[in-house]
Amino acid sequence: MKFINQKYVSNKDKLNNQFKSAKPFPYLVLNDFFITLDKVKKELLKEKFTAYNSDLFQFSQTVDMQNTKNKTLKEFHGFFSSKVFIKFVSEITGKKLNSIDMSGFIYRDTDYLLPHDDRLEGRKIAYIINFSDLSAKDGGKLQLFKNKKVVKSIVPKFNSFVIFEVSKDSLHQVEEIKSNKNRITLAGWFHAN
Amino acid sequence: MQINPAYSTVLLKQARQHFKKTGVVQLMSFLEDANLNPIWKHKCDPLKYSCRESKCKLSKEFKETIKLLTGKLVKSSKLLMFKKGDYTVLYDGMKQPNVVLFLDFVDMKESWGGYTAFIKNSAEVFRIVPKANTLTLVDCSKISFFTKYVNHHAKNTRIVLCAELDK
Repeated sequence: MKFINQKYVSNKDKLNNQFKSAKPFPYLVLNDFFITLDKVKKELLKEKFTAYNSDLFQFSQTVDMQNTKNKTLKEFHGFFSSKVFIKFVSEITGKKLNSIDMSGFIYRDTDYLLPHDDRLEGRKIAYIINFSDLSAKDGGKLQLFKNKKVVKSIVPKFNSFVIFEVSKDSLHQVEEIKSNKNRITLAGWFHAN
Repeated sequence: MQINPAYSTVLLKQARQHFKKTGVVQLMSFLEDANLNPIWKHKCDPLKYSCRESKCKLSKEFKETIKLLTGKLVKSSKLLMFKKGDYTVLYDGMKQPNVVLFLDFVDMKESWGGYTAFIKNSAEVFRIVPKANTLTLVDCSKISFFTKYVNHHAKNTRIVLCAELDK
């Protein structure tokens, strides 16, 4: 587990309790999660991002990182999809997990992702690795819903790792970006196949 | 709601031919005047839409003009308002009308969002960028539509009369 901050590795029970008791549905925000992310960010920005525009979203996305040819990103993806890391996430969420997918995302000015619950066969835990430091006025917050209303807003902070449980209750959105700052992430799901 | 007298019966019949052929027709400077007096009610289901809605009474002349244009009767109508942050999305089980009428009252820039996008076989086929006093009729038998999220750059609020026509 050379990639992640040791304080998290030795606190799995506490994290599991925090995850289970979080409202409006199980989630965790782990700041300064990785030992370092600067190089990963630099290499991620060299990848090809394709713009997508639909009723539900507007953002730019890479292909799945398992197909990257970039050495740094390959190594990072290798760690993130390793048995030892998936076991760690299994332990802090209490979910049986066995695989991941991962893509890079850039949300630029006016980009957004409207409310949805992420439910799709096999998806158990959604995750976001933040590479941007935004302030509340920049937009781009991950927002969690309860009873069709936003009750929790998470402002993207560089090197924060956010996870939440995927269920019929996990309604969430990415707020529109309202400045010229970009919201850069690697994100995807932990699956149980 | 008075129709612009420039829209003579001959012109409306020509427009009807165009609509029959292409499934879409747009008529600019459509109304001579409009007293809307809306009473807005917020409508929000985050998974489907966020907008404001008001009842809207259509004049006899308006309904007769639409009948001349399409050969169909107006089944229902409402005024919709889309402010910053408003939208509609496509969703499973959504009611799909046959012919839809849009009459816009405010100009919007395409880059602000708020336009109506028409989707066929998962691809966008065309969009209505709101132009004040412009009527658009669309045959929606094989296409669905949504209103694009209105972003923070928008300087206007879209106000549009939407009506469904009979089969």
